[in-house]
Amino acid sequence: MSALGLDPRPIGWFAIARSDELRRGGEIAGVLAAAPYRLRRRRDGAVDVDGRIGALAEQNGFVFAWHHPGGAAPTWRVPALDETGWRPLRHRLLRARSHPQEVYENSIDTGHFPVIHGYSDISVLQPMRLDGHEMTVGYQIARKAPLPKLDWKVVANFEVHLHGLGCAHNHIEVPMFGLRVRMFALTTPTEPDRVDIRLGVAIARDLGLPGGRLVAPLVHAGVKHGIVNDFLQDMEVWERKRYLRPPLLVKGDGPIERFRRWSQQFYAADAARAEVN
Amino acid sequence: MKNESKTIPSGWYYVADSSEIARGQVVRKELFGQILALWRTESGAARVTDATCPHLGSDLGKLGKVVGEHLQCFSHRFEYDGAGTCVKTPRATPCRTEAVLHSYPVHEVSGFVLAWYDAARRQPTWRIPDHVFDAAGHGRFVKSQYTFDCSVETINEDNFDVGHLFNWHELSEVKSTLPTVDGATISVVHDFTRHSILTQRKLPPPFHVLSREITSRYGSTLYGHGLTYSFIEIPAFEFLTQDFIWPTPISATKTLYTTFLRRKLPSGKRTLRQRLLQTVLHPVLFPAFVIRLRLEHKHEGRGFWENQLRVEEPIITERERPMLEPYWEWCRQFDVDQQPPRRYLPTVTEPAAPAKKARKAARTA
Repeated sequence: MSALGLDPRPIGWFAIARSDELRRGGEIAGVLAAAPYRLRRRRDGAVDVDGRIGALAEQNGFVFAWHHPGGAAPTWRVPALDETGWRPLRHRLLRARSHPQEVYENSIDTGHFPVIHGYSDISVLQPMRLDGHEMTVGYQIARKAPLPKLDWKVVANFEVHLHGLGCAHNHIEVPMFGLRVRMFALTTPTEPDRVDIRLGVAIARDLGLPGGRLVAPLVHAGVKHGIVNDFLQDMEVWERKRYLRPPLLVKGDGPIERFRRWSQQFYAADAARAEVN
Repeated sequence: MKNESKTIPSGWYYVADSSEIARGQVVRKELFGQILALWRTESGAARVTDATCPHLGSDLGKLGKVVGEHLQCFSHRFEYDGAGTCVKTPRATPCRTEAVLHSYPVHEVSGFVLAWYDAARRQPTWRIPDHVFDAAGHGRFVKSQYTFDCSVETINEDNFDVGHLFNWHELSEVKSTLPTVDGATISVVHDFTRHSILTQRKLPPPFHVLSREITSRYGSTLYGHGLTYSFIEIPAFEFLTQDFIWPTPISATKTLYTTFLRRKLPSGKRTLRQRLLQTVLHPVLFPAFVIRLRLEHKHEGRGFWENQLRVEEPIITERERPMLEPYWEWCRQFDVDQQPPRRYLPTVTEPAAPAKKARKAARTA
């Protein structure tokens, strides 16, 4: 266990590189779940790996690695999303003192939305649904338009689709601007209590606005900036947060206990048992 | 194993200067093996609580904000009072509210913020009397602070370890009173001679004339493990200092060592000699004395205290036993673990007198 109190070696698929970082003949080294790895792209485009990595999958511009502390083979996969009709991803890598479970717990901790991010009029469009290794939840929120001196509220619907503790496909819709956003939030446990968060943000090419094609790059940059800013706000809290067992929950906090129980499937049996106890 | 108990001894400990915590301010410190939030309400009351919000673990030391008489967590706006009770949330009331955030009893006196620590979370049974801090007739404090990798018990044992006075501090002709115990208080006084008040070691010729032997008196009273109130008196110069030594446990094996030294100021009718000493010598002597004490504390901490190991069956001399035994027994009242008293091996014979004393004795013979 780490100082944060969560097992630093969870089971699942974790993004360990961006495809465009790994050129033909190139090499990348890193750490996944406290174990070093080395990735090498061969001339024929295939990727070789050294380290305690069970399997590799390359999709949607990311290289995913399967991690299991016992060396077991993957039992599920992260689905690849169709990229037709979407602008290319804009990326940002964040490094935080946190844990994948803590990062994703944030998506159901509705209590912090208004305080940390300034969201208002929060309603749950789709209550948390757990299905094997997948978790889905949907909200409608209002936030101030990112325009100075204008007190406009922008209403957005967003849906989080989690595949294990390493991959979240988030879908955001802003009906008033006809804007559709797709956001990959991919967490990778590196050293104990350290997590890499790879953010990839894309917007749909068909902006429902006149001249949408022209303003799309600007909107894309603005949306990415807003999303990164939200993560930076959370990172300030994570920097010194402690994982409490049990937390002092109140009504309206979101289904945190259910989420934590669901998360236990992503730890080796002994770590999960310790958590339940 | 170091000379320490497994848990931090209970008692009053210095946690901050009053001036460190302004009204409405939150200060984060790592003490007592915990992260603490030290905060002052708008009405001016100092509070010490754990810094981890019991709701979802946010750090109140960093993200806490004083709202009136309460501490508010920035992450979810839960509010706690000085007793650690959750008094307000933006939504529903939690299933339990009272003392959900651990709070420490606070006593603020003479510019010191003291917090009561007890591993079993019992309430204070005694208090450091306010008269100890009486400032009348004394100069301003000079503060020094160090961190040592040893327990508070190891540091405080120093007052009763007469053996090290000869060897470590190179004192001679040490005459000590027996320790006097009164509840949470234990006192001792040592009269001794040393080479100089400015240097620990004897200076080589021709500077040896500067290191004239001088007789001093050192007295200390411990109020639990958290405060050693000590005085050093040099009768020849009519020089008297007060030293408030505050060992505060950062953990069971690490101590924040803070000292506040001040000198007694001249008052009342004085002779010409006293006037000369107090107006000419003392203002020069005091800063030199501060530097010397700082070096000595640091040297002793790093060199001696940090390298002391706990011996379950110590071999002690007849001379050491009446000094150390009452101290060890006194320590037990603060030990939540209630470790059994140490067993002593048969006392060994007194070691040979220091070389200097032996030479003097030979000359007399």
